[in-house]
Amino acid sequence: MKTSKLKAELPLHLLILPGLILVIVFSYVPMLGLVMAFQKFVPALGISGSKWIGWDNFKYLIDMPNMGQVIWNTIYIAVMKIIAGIIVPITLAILLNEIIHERFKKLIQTIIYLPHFLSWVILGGILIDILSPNTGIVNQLIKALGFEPIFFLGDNKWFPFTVVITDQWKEMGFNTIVYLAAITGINPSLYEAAKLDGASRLRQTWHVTLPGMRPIIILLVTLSLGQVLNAGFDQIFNIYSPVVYESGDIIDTLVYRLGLVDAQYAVATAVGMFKSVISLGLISLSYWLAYRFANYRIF
Amino acid sequence: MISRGQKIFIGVNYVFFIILSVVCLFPLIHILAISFSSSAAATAGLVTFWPVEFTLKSYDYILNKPEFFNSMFISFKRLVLGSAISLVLCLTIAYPLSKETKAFRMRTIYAWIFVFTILFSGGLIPGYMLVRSLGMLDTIWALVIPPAVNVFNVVLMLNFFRALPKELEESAFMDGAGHWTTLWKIYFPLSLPSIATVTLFTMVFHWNSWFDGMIFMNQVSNYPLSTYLQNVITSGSIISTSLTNLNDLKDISDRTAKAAQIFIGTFPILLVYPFLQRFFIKGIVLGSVKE
Amino acid sequence: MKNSKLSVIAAVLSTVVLLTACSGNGNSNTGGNTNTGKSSNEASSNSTTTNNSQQSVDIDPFGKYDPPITIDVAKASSANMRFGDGEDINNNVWQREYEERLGIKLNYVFASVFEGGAYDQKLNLSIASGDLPDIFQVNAQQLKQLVAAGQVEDLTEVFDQYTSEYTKSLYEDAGDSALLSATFEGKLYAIPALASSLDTAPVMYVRKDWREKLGLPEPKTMQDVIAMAEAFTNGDPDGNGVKDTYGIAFTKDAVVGTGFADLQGFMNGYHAYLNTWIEDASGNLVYGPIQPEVKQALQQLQDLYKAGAIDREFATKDMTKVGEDLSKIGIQFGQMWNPIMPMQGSVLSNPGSDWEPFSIVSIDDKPALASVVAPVVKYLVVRKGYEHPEAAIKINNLTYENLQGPNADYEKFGTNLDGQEGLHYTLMIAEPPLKNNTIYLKVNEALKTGDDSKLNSEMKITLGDITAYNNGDMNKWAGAKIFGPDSSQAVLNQYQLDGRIMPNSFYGGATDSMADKNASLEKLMVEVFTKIIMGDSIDNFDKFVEDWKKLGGDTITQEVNEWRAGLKG
Repeated sequence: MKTSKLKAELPLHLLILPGLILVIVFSYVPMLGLVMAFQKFVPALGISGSKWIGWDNFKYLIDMPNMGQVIWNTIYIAVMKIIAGIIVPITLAILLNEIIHERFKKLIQTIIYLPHFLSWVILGGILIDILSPNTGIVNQLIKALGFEPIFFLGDNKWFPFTVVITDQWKEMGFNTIVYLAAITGINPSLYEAAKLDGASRLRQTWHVTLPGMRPIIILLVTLSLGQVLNAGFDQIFNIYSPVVYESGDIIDTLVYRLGLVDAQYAVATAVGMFKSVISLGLISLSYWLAYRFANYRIF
Repeated sequence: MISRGQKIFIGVNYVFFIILSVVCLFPLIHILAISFSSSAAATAGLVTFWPVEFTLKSYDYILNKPEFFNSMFISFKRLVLGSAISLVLCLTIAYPLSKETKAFRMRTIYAWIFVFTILFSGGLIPGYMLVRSLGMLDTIWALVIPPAVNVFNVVLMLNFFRALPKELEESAFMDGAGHWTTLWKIYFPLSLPSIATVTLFTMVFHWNSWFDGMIFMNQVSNYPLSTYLQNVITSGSIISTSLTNLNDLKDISDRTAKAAQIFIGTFPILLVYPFLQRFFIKGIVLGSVKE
Repeated sequence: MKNSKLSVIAAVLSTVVLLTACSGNGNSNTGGNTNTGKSSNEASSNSTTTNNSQQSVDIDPFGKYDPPITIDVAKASSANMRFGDGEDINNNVWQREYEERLGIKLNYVFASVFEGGAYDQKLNLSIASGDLPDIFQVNAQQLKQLVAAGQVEDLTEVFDQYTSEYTKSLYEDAGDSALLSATFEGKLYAIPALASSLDTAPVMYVRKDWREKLGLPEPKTMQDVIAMAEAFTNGDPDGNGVKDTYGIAFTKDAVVGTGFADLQGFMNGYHAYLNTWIEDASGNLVYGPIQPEVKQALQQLQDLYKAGAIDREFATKDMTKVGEDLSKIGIQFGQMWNPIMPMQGSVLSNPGSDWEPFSIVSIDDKPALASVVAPVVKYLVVRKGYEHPEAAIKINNLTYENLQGPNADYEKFGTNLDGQEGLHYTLMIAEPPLKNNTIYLKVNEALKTGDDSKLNSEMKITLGDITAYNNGDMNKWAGAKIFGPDSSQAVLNQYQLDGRIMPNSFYGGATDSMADKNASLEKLMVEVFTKIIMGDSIDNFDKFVEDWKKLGGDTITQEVNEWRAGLKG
C-alpha cells in the first residue's frame, strides 16, 4: 500500500525538487543573516565579528519617538490600501469585461497599466503640482464647484486618503489584469445557464462572475495581508513632508530617517523581522479562517 | 434585445474608461514632453503637455554611448533567461501544490515552506554574501537565479490549476499519462491566461529591476539597462557642470535626463504587452471547448 | 537631510572645480622638497621620464615604483562623468599619468556608482564580506568604523614624510580641522579630500529687476530685508495684476539646509546658527539651534508666513520644485553655486528676471557672521596590511600638483576644451580650499587692468564668459554671477576680508550619542521649527529646547566638549 502511494507521489516530489533546492539556497540560507537583528552590526566586522546585543535593537526601535503613532499610521494606511486594492480592481475588471469592443478593451488594459512604470520620484513632483491648493488642477475644479481648496499633501486629515488614492491610480492596472484573467477563466456555460434562468447582466455578475473570482480575491487579499506593515515606503517618502508626519509617517520612513541614513543594517534587519513576524501571524490567521469557514485552502 | 438601461450603461462605461485613460496617460505625456524640452524650460517648470524648446539632447546623450546598447542587450538576455527559468519553475512547483492532500501528502508542508520565504528575508548583506560565495558576482546568473522562484506567481498559478476540472487529470491517467505528461500536455495549454499573466509580471520585474544589477555587478559592462540608466545617467541631485559645458547644461538637466530614462526604460515592455494579451483570448477558447 | 546636503556640497564643489584654472597661486615654491628626498623630481612640467627612478625606498613624494605596482582601488564616480572616445575609467589621461609618473596602475574593483547611497551600499557590502580594496574612498562614518575595527593603516608617518611641499601648504590653508577630522587618538588614519569651507557660507540672492522696479534700496539690514520681502509680496513686482509673488523662498529642507533656499542665511542675521556648535561666553561648546536668538528669528519668520511673504506650501516643496517657482520669488538665502543650478534655467526662461548676490545682513549693529562648515566629506584610506601605504600619499600629491600646483597643466588634466573631464578621473577629487577665491581675485584683476597674462587658459575662458555676459549673452549669466564683479564669490571674499565668519567648532566624527540620537533630535527640530513658522505657538521653541536636552542633547554636548578637550591635549 504505502510503497505504491510513494511511487505515485514520487514524480510530484521530483517536480518540486528544483524549486525547493533553489528556495533553500537563496531564501533560507540568507535567512541565517537575521541574526544581525540581534547584533550591533558593523560592516567592518562582518556578521561573525559583530557583537551580540540581544533585544537592544528592538528596544531602540520601540523607543523611537512617536513609534506608537507611526505604527498606527502604518496599519491605517495599509488597511485602507488593501480595501481599495480589492474594490477598485475588481470593479474595473468587471466593467472592463463588459466592453465588447476588443481593441478598445486591450487599449484600456495597456493604458491603465502604464502608471505602474513611473517611479514615485517623478510622480512626487507631479502630484505636488496637481494637488497644489493654489494652482493645482484638482483644486481649480474643486473651487469651480464652489468648495474651499484642499491642501491634499499638507493636511493631516487628507493625507492618508491622498496616499491611498494615488497609490491605486498607479497600481490598479496590476490587480485588474489578474482579475481579468480570472474572469476569462470562468466557464461561459455558467453564464448561459444564468441567462436561461432570466438573470440580468447585473445578476449574472453577482451570481457568476464574483463567485468565479472568489478564489483569486481571497488569495490576493491574503497575500496583501502579508504586506500590511509595508504601507509603501517609496511612495510616502517622495510625497511626505514634516507637516504631515503626524498622519503620514510610517514605520519604514521613520526608521529610514532615524536609522538607515547612517547605514544601520542591524536596525533595518530588526524592523524587517518585526514586520515579518506580524505578517506571518496575519497570513496564518487568514489561511486558517478560509480553511475553517470556506473549506478553501488559499495555497 | 438590449434594454435602454443597458445602452446607457454601456455608454457610461465607455466614457468612464476614456476618462480613466486620460487620467492615467497625462502624467506620462507630461514626462514625455519634459524629455524633449530644454533643461532651462524644465527646471523653470514651464513644461506641461507639449515640449518647450524642443530638443533631442537628452535622448542623444543617453543613446550615444555604446555602453547603452550593451546594457540593453544584457537586459534582454536577462529577461529571456529569467522569464523562461521562472516560468518552468513556477509550473513545476504549482502543479504538485495544486493537488489534494490525499494525492500528495506533503503538499501543505511544502506550501508553507515556499510561502514562508515571502515573509522572511535575511536582507541585503547575507544575500550578497551568498551570491558572492557562489562565485556568481559579475555574471548574468546573479540576476536570474536568486529571484527565479517567485512564490507569489506560484500561488497564483496553483489556484488556476485548481480551477481546472478534475476529469481532465483522471482521463489523462486512464490514457496512461504520468504527471509530467499531464502537466505539459494538458495543464499547460489550458492555463495560458495565467501563464501570460505570470510571464508579463516576471518580464516587467526583470526589465525594471536595477538594484540587484548594481550590487552584484562590478563592471559597467555587465550592467543591465535599468542599472545603467539609474547609475550612469542620473544622479541624486545636481549634475556636475563646467563653464565650458554650460551650453550642454542648458539642454540637459536632471529632469530631462530622468524623463528620457523613463521612456527608454518603458518602451520595450509596451511593445511586448499587447502581444501577450492575445493569450487571454486564446485561453477562453480552449477553456470552453473542453466541456 | 544631512547626507543630501553633504552630497550636494560635494557635487557642487566638483562643479566649481571645473570653473577653474591653476591659479599660479605662488605660495609654494616648486623648488625642492624639504623632505629628505635627495632628488629633485618636481615636475618641471614635461620631464616626466626620469624622476629619480630609484626605489620607493627613497622618500620621494613623486617617487616612481619600478617595477610598477597594481593597486586595487575604489571610489565613487561623479554624475555625468564623460570620457573621450574609447576611454573609460581604466583608460584615460590620469591612468596613464599614474603609470608614467608613479609606476602605479589603478585597478577599480567596481566603478561607476555615485557618491552617497549607491557607493556606500557597495562599499559596505565589500567591507562586510571582507573584500577591502587596497586604497579606497570612504565617508566619515565608514572611516570611524574601519578605524575602530583596526582595518586601516596608520598614515601619520607616511603623510609627514611623503606629502609634497605644495600639498602641505594646501592643508595649512585648510586649517586644522581637515586633518583633525581624520585623526583618532593622535594618529592620522586617512587623507582628507580638501574642499573650501568658505564656499559653504550663505549668500543672499535678491531679484534685481523687482528691486529696481519697486525702487527699493540695496538691503543693508534685516529690517531692509523684511521690508523688501513684504514689498515683493504685495507690490505686484511682476506687474501682472495678480498677487502671486512671494517675498522669501524656503524649501522643505530649509532647516537642515541643502544650499538653496535655506534658513541659515536668515538665521545668521539674528546671530543664530543652525547645525553648528559655537562657543558660549564661558568658552564651552554649545549647540546653535537651541540658543535664544533662534527663537527671535522663528518669530519673525512666522510673521512673514502669516503675511503671505512665504509660500504657504513651502513645507511640501523640495529644491527642484522651489527652483521651478523662481520666477515668482524675490529673495532666497543659498550658497555661492546657486546661479548654475537652479537659477540659470529660470533666468533663461524668464527674460528680464535677474538676481544679485548680497552679503547677509544683521538685525542690529553687530555684524552678521556667515556660518561655514568644515566640508571634508571624503577620505582616502589604506587597508591594513597593504605594503605600499605611501602610494596613497603620492597619488594625492600628484592630483594637486597636476591640477593646481605651480607646474599644473589644467588643460590636460582638468577639463579640456572638448569637455573631457580629466578632473574626475583622479582617485579622489578634491580642490584646494582657496581655489575659487583665487580665481575670483585674479579674474577681476584682469577685468580691471585689461591684462590677462597672469591667467591660464581656463581662467581666460572665465574671463571671456564674463565679458560675453556683459555684452548680453545670457547663457553666461551663471559664470558672471559666481565669478564676476557683483558675484557670490565677491560676497564670500568680503566675508573673508572682514573676518565675518562663524565656523562650526565641532568637526570630529559623530560621537557615540550623536550616532544614536542625532537623527531623532534632528527630526524633532525640523518638525518643531517648521510648524512654528507655519503658525504654532512660539513657546513650542522653549519646549523643544527642554526636550532636546532631555532626549540626548545634554549627553551630546558633554561628549562634544570632551572631544574638544582631547584635541587640545
